[in-house]
Amino acid sequence: MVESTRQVLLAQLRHKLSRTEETSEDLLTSNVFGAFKYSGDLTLLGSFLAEACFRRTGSHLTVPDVRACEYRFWPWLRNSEVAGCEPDVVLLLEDGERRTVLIGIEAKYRSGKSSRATEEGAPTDQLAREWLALRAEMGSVGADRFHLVYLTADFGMPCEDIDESLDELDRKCVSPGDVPADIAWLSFRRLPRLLAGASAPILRDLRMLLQDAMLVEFEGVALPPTRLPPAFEFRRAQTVRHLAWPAPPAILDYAFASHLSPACRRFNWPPVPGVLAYKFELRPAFRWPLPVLPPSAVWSFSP
Amino acid sequence: MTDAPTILSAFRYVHEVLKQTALLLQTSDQVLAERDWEGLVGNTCFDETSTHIQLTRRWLPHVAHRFYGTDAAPLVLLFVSVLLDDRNNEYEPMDECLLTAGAIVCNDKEWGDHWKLWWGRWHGFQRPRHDDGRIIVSERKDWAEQSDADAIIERVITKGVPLPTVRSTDDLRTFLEPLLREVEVYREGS
Repeated sequence: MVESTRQVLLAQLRHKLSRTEETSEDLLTSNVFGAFKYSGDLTLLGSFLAEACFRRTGSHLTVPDVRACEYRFWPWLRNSEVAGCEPDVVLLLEDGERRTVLIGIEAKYRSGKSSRATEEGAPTDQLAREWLALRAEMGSVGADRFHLVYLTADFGMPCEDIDESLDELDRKCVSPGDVPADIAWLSFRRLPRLLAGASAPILRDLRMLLQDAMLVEFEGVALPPTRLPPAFEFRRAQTVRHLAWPAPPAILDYAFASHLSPACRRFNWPPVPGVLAYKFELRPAFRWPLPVLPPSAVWSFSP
Repeated sequence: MTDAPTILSAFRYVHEVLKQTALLLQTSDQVLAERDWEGLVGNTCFDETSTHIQLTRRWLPHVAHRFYGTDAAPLVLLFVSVLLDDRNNEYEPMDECLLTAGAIVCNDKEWGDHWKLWWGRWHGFQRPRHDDGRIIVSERKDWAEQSDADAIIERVITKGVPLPTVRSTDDLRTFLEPLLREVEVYREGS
C-alpha cells in the first residue's frame, strides 16, 4: 500500500497524470494523508492539524501529543438526523493517556462545497451534515471530543462557506443553551513549510509535489545570489536600542547567520569600522546594507 | 557544479521573485476580501509587456498589481502593487523593488470604469517619496499639471516598503492596516 501511494505521488511529480487527475482533490487528499500515514510521522501530523483555526473563536485546534492515529479514508458516516455523508478523511487521534479526539477532514482543492444550505428541512449543507455525522460518530467510537476541519487551498479563511454551514446548524440543530457549533479551517499551503525538515522520503516528495502545484504560502523574496561577500544578519543578544558606531566591541555579543552559512554562531567583532552609524531601534535584527558591506577578510568568526 | 551565479541561476531567481510576488498579491486578495474589498481585475496582475522583438524592455513586467473596490466606499479605489523596476526612469530614485499600496479617492460619485491600471505605480511617482512604510498623501489641488483623465481624482494616499522586508502574511497585514484605517472615513455612513 505504501508503495502504491508513493508511486502515484511520483507519477504526479513527473507529470504522468492527466490534468484532471492532477487537480483532483481526492488525489491531493490521498497524497497528503497517505504520506502522513505511511511515514508514521505523528508529530508532523499534529503540527499540521494544530494550524487549523476555528471560525467562531479564532483559536487554533488543540491537538494532543499524538501517540497513535487511526486513518479512515472516505468513510461513509450514517446519522439519524440527516442523510449519510462521506468526509474525505476521519482521524482518531490518541494521546499518551488514551484520550481520543475524532477529527473529520473535508478537503477542497478547486471546487466548492458539494451541497449548500436550505431554508427548511434537515440540514443539507455539506459541512453541516458532516459536523452532525461526526458528532454522532464521536459517540459510536467513544472519543472524548470531535472537530471538523475544512481543508482548502485558500490563502485565508473562506468565511462565507463556513458561515453558511454554521448558520444552518444554528437554525436547525443547536438548541438554546447548547455550545454553538464551530468549524476549523486549514490550508494545504501551510504544509510545505512544516515539511521542510521532514526526513521520510515520502514526506520530502510530498513537499516537492505541493511546491510544484504552487500550494505554498508567501515566504518573502530572498536577495539574489551573488559573489559579493555574504549579507550577514545580526541578532542582538543584549538589549541595545541604539548603537552608535564605533562601540566598544567587548561589551556587545552578537549571534549571526548568513544565507551562505545558515547555522547561527557567535561572532567576535573584529577591527571596528569607524565611519558607519547604525541604529538598531527596537528591531530584533538588522541586515547589513549590501553596498557598504565590509570585505569579508576583515571578519573573524568563532564557532 | 558550483555556487557561482550563472545566467540560468539568475533567470531562475527572477522566476522565484515573480512566484513570490504572485503569492503576495493572492494573499493581499484574501486579506482585503476579509475587509469587504473585492478584486476588480479578475486574475490579471500586470500589463505593459510586449512580445515584440525590439521591445526587450517590455519583455518582463515592471509592476504587478491588484485593484480593489467596495460598495461601502465607492469613492475609493484601492491597490496593492509590487514595483519591480523603474523601466523608464520615471520615479524618484528606487534602489530596491517595492511593495506599495494606495487609495485613490474620486471626487465624483463613484469610480465606475474611469480609472487606469498605471495608477498602481503611483507610489513610485510620489515626490517626495518615502519607502519606509509611512503614509504619503497627495492632493490634486497641489498638482501642477493634470490630464483630463486625472481630473476625477481628489486625493491619492500611498505607502511603500522595500519588497525584501515583507516576509510573511502577517507582515503584509501590518503593512496594509494603516492604509485601511486611513480610508475608513470614506465608508458611507462613517
